[in-house]
Amino acid sequence: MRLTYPRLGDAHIYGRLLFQEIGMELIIPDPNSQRGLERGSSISPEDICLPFKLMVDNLISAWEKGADTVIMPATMGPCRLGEYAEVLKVVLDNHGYRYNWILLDSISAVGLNELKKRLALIIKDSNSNSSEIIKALKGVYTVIKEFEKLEKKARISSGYEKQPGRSKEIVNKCRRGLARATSIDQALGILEKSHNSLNSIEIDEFKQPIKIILTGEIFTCIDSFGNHNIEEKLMDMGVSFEKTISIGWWIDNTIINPLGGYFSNKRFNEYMPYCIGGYAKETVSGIYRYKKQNFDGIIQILPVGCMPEIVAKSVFDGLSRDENLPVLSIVFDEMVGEAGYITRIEAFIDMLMRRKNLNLYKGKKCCI
Amino acid sequence: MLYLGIDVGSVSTNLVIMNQDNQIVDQLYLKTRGAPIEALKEGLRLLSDRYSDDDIWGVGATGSGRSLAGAIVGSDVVKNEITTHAVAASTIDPAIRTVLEIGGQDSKIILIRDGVISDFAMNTVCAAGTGSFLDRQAERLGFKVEELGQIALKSKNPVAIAGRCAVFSESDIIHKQQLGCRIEDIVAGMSKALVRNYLSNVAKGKPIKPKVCFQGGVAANLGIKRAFEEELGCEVFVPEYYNVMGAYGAAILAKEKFEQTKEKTGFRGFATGNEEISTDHFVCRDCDNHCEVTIIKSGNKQLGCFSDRCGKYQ
Repeated sequence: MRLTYPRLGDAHIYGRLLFQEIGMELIIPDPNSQRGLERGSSISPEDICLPFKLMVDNLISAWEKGADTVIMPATMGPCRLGEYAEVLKVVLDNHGYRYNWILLDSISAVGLNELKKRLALIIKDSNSNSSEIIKALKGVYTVIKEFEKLEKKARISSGYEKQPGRSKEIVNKCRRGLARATSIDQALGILEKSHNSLNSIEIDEFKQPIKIILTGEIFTCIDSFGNHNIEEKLMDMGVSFEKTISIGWWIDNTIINPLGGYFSNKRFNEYMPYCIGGYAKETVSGIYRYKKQNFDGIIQILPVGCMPEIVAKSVFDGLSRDENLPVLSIVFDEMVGEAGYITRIEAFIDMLMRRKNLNLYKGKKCCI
Repeated sequence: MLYLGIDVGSVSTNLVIMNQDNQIVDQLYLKTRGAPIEALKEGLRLLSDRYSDDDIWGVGATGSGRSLAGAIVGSDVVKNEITTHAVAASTIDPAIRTVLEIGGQDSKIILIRDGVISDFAMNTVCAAGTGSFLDRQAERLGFKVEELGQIALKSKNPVAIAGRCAVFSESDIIHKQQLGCRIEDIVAGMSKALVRNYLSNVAKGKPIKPKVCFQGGVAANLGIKRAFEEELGCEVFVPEYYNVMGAYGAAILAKEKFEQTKEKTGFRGFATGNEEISTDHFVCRDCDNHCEVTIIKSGNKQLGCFSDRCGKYQ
């Protein structure tokens, strides 16, 4: 059995570490590229979202490298009415890529016994015993958490650094290191070093950078190809920002503490009283939390055809008016030309900068 | 003391020469025709007869080709077109609170409060109702795009045309033609559809408060101006230099920058118009990113480089 799963940001780095630790091989699809996207779209349904087309290409690429089994986490959720993986399977089957599929989702979606059965299927080729596997899982979880902590710190410090580009450089170097690491222990060592070097960069505490929340649809938030490297662009512009959605957040929300996710979903939210699928409600609720923390604006990103986020986008229009909190929504699709995206982001940052200066000039504290 | 503003857009390339008092002393509106470098060089050649390099104290570039123009000319400010359009409008009249801008491929709305941009929006995934759509329809109907406005004004009973999508609206126009509708009614219907599409797709219920300023190439079209006035119920003001407002804004920002920093301009001179400028375009395969890198050169000298994520070609 040769396992693979579609690309999602740095998920392949974590997966490789995990399976390496328990003596199994993970086939990693080629990086997302424009040519890959064209191949993916050529056999995907025409109205489907960008992530789907990329995943189709990922799985073709893994098939060519010899993979025969796909693990698909979290696809029985509300995307495509819970049939996301089924549609993916049908599309690939029709074109001769006949994979075995292991679909994973929360206990509420598949039931505890069924989930256990499916998990056992994944590790049946491993020689490790269960305590070793649990140890590896814990180790990878720590790697994910530590790397996301590093990214989080870098996103904030990019607005304050004296030597522009340092934070970005440290994160990218660390990512390259993790992708090559031969064990979890080595990965943790790389992370510790990166944390140290990020802590020691020179900071200008008197700077007043623009502070932004980056949120939106889960795939485009996590995958840098899906969002045209928006994070690096913001860092280059000297913006300090926080991202609400990441792989670690998803793991906490779905596996480690599903009750937390359940309760936050049940909590009343006047702008979005119902859960409408995807992570639209989480997107909107997240903003509430950040609203109190003096942020200058929100950037919401989503792929064309993502229903839940389209609803969240309309909710933001009202929220933006009522709370005087500027929102920029960026929709991504197959377009390669980046001028349009950059113009919008630049203009948004310019606007926030001028607003901020005006408020400072008036001697008032920023009203946001 | 003069300042040069350059706006390299999808349809037109505009150059503006502005004096110390923010007045436009000269302007050029050239068609880009898909060759921004050539258009820019032509503009510089035309201006070189009238001005000398020493007159220019600052240069600003804007438009979708701003990085390209900035690298070739050596501009001091490279700014996005939303900021420059807003700066230009509020310089002309501080009372302006809404800017409607329709260009070749983009349409935008900018709200100005207390002299700064308070909100803006741009068309997202559809270019229906922008200048290139009008260009295409004018060509199909056998007119020049400049004539469309006058034709629309003659109409008494505009026909209904779908404005949601360029393809739908073209089918509607053809259908109405086959029914034998009068051409002025069709053109007026198209203008109304375009305005409706703009208000629902771009403005999306944003509070449009007077004074409303309409700029960009499409502002030349009187039919669209009238359709906006009918739809908004207020007067729509079209500034004298409506089609070079982006370039004008860039010149103003260049002046602001000079006044703040007093730095000598990086302008490479009007002679750039006669230089042989070449571009290298390739996919770098040195890492997983596979960036599509563009390098701009004048002879053997590298003027600028775009789209390399790691920065190694800079």
